[in-house]
Amino acid sequence: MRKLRRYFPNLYIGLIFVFLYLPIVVLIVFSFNSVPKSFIWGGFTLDNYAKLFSGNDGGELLAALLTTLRVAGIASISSTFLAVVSCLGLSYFSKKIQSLVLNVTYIPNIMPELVTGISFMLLFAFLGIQKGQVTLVLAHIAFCVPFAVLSINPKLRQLDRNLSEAAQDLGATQFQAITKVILPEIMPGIVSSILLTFTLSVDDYLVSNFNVDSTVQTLPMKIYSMAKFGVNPKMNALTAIMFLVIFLLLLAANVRTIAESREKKKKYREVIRK
Amino acid sequence: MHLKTPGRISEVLEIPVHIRLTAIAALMSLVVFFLPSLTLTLFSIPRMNLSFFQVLQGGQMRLSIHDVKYTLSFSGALPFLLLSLLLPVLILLLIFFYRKITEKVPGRAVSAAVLSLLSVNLVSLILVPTKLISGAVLAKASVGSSDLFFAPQAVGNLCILLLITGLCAAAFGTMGLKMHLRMVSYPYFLWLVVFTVLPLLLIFFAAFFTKNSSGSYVFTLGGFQTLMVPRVIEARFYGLTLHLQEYFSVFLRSLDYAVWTTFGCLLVAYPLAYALSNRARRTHTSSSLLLMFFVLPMWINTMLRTYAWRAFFGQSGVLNNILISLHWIAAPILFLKLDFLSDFIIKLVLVNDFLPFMLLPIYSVLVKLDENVTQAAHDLGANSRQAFSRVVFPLSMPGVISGIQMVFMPALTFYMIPEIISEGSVTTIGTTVQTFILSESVVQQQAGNVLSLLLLIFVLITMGILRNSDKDTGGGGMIL
Repeated sequence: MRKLRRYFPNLYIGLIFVFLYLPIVVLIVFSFNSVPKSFIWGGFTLDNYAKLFSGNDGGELLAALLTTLRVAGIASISSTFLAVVSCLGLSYFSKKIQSLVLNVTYIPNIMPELVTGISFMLLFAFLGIQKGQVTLVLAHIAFCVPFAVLSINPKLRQLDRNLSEAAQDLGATQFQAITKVILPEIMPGIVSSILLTFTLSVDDYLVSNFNVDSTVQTLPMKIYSMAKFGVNPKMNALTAIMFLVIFLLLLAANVRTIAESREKKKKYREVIRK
Repeated sequence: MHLKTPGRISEVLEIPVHIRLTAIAALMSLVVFFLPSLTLTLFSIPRMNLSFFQVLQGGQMRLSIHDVKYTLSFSGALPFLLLSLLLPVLILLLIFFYRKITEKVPGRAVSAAVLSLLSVNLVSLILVPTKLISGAVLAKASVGSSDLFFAPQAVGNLCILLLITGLCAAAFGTMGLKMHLRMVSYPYFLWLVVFTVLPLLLIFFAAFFTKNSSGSYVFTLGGFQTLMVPRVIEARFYGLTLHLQEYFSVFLRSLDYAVWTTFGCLLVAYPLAYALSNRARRTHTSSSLLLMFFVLPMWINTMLRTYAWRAFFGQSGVLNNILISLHWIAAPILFLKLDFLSDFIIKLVLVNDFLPFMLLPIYSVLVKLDENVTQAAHDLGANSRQAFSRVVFPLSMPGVISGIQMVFMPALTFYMIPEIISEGSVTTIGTTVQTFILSESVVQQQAGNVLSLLLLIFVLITMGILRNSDKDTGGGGMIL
């Protein structure tokens, strides 16, 4: 019984793990499917990978992928930049104004995405901006900003206010105090903000759907429209590749932390032994 | 007492920030001048990338408009071209040599001079493109001036923005005001007004006003009337057959999904977060790698995952094949066609999709929880169940609330999963709004706007009830 209790958490973790990864495994397995446009198994093939971007549908897929990556890149970097700059300035305002601005910032966070998309559509109609690439990018930046602020502002708040003053007393200019003291301190927040906004932007369907014309298509939109006639295994292949790339990137980013934590563990054990 | 160290004094003599910003602006306008960042776009001719410098050198350009070749001369734009080359240089010289010659910090007079020079510079930069092609040539080619536009590209746009910033800085100096770091967030306030406050107001406005044929806005309640049609449809909830107003039943269905998704996520994610945080504490390592594996599915496109689920549960899907090959069932089960089962599967997929959003905030609160708190509860005589229900759970409430926020709202309108799983047979509020908004009829569009306004109000009220007292700590949970 005790043994069961001890292993139960790990068992549970494993179970949820399977639950989360089941669709992804199905997806990757079907990326080797030889039957086009369906989820019915027809035999193993590597064709979907070899001819990923060739042919008519492949070209469309590539175009959608590039659009998505471009939009997500611009949106994540500019929303993070905007968030960093505004949070820096915001910390010099009174508590009242700070909380007012932050509350207004977080409104889109608690709005349903669909309503956000519609509100941007109304905004662009009001401002007289034609739907297209520009509106897509603007809408993505706009819905990413609250999340960027959400990742950066807590980090900035944890920071000691005296830190930049100390730097300035030691002869740094205000600019140097920001670039050499504050920015390195909030770097984890910046990195997680870029990652988060990039993810949100890549996966977004609802906001994009209302703010583009027919000439621009992002990957989720492409998938949704393509899949009405059966899911193309090339899409699965592309997703499998993307999954692998992200997996390796995250693993590489974590290797250092793992090594550090191992070291810590070792030291801890040594301390206990003594 | 102010201690004036030598470093401080030299800093005082340095060029003020606003003057420096103006210098950057002047440099940027030179960049605009030399970079081929201005795209000359004319109706039915190919795009041409030109810089002002090329224009200044060339003086003439051959263009074919409507397949007729024209020679365009740029003499009309020449003075403006020269101005936009000379003025930035003049500004830079003024800024850098003023201090050398007078040994004084540039003051308000210099700011005023720079301001006027910079504004003339900006005006000439804007005027150059419009003066490039004369009206006579346009008339000869039967092209209106509205077909002719010069689009500055990304670099050009950025430079123009910096130019305007520099202009503001110079204006500041002229008024004798001091720059403060808080000013960098002023553009953000503008951004907030345009991209958060204005859209909200527009939703309110669009719910009550429509544009009529003459282009003016009139007050109507047509949208409300469209939604309030007394059309009753049969809706089945958990075996019960209810007769409900059409859109109310749709809303109820979405609410059903959203509530169950939130509840299911909480039920699954809380023990998981608890187990993970315990593990992290026990092994004295940040279990960031393990956590990462639970967040990783977020990076895979939601819709593809949903299609994979459909493939898993489908008639000739993975699950049926496995069950048949094990001889547990004789014929495939129609998981997605049976009323109750398909409903359950939709909720299952929704939980699967939103799980990371619930896990992260709860985990980030639990992992920060001091172990001694539980220890203290035990010391005060609580058993482990009491310690959990009276101490740990209440302390993790901010994470739970922000998790509910992260899951409930999107789940309410996320119509793709129900639609894909049920193959379009289930209508949710999201689908309804989408069809309304994208329809051609004005009344229907207004109905869509009304519906999104109602949704917004509903969500705001719900969130008001759930109001998180400390948003920042909870929100920090989103940090990956």
